[in-house]
Amino acid sequence: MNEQLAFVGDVHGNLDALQGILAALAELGDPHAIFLGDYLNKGPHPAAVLEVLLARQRSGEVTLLAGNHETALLAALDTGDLAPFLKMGGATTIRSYLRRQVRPDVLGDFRAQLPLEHVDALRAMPMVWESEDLVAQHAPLGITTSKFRISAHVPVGILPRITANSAQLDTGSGSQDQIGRLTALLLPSRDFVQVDASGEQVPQTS
Amino acid sequence: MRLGAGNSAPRLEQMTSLELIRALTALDIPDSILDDLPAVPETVSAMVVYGSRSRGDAVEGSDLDLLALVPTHQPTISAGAVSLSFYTPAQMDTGVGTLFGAHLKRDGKVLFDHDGRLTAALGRMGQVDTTRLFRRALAMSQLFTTPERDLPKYQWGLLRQARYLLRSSLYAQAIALGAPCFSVREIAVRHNDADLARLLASRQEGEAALEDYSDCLSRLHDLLGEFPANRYGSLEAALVNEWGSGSDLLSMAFMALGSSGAGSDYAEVEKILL
Repeated sequence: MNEQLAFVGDVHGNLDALQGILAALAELGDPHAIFLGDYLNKGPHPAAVLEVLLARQRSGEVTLLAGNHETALLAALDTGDLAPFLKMGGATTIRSYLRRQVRPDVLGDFRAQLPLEHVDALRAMPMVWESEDLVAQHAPLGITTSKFRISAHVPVGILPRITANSAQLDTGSGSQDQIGRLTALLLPSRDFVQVDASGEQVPQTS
Repeated sequence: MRLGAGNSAPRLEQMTSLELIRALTALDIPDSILDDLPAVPETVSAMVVYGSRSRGDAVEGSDLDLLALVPTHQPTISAGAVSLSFYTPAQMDTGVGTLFGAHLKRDGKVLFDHDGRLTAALGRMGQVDTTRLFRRALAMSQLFTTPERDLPKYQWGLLRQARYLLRSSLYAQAIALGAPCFSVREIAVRHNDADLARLLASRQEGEAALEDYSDCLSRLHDLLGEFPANRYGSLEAALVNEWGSGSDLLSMAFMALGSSGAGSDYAEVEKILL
């Protein structure tokens, strides 16, 4: 396959970073982008992040995999137990959908404001994306495979960790300290582009 | 015994772990507890042991409480009987004037301190501001005022937090009366109330008992006065609406969610240092 692909790490509610990385990819000819999950929590704008990504998914520009933060949100909706999602920092996601003070029945209030379209999209997100020579999923794969493995989830510092057989792309977007970056890995070249917390492209040398 | 197995600088990590084990062995910490010691991250520059294990009044089953100085925030590790919490220098400084700070300064034993910063921070802890403590405890007690929504889900966490506020308030009362004390057993003796030691113990067997919760709240009420109403109407709503504020109420609500399943995916809020 000669077509260029981009793989993007955890966004975590940082809308500026998402828009920055989409602009950077547009400059590179808009390769199809596979996002590795964790759109929600941490940063302040999970609802808007998902809105932007779902619009791009509808037009076929991006593929959205599920991360553990998405799985945790669905588990909260399914079980009625909000505690594990809240412990992961779910408050920022709830607030981004409500944009006002939440009522005492938090889950009920959240359910009422969460667009069905978003819930359906979250439920439909695959865990894995695979091609002849690549396999991508949110958390690093524990299995051995001859394919090039791409993952996120585990913070690796501000630079992606790219080896002969694998790439890890969680470079801390949405983190509280604002020093995290959002990374897109380009294949087949194995180059990468990054934006900082404000969405500014980071020069490759730093 | 588990030693550090970090992939970047295992030697430094192992040296710190060995240093720690030597220091703890010198304090007669039993091997059964040392076996639970988690790996010490290489960023740790200093450690102090506090609580009954440093005071020397530990009984069988007492926890080993360790505090480590680190450059950036990280979550507490609980492994068996060992609790290892991490503080940045800035977090240490929020301990000035608190029970936590006074407690550490009085009973803590520094195990190692590579650059002297922990020892210096302990030296700055000062006297406990009991007026401030009672005011903060009262503000946090609003979390106990929406039981119809919260008790079915969070009884265990609420009991734990009620116990923490009661224990802290009793210590503060002892200080305000001019006779400081940092032992629940000693407090129970002073109050001539054998049940108090069991009620206040940080590690509890079995289910969270509703009677214990009511008992804690009624004693807390006697110490603090009328609890203010939770203006958000539930524990979860307090947590969501206060998120990012750094308030005591937020930390209290977050702690009351319970610690089950805690891991690296979990968010962190400010520690409550009363």
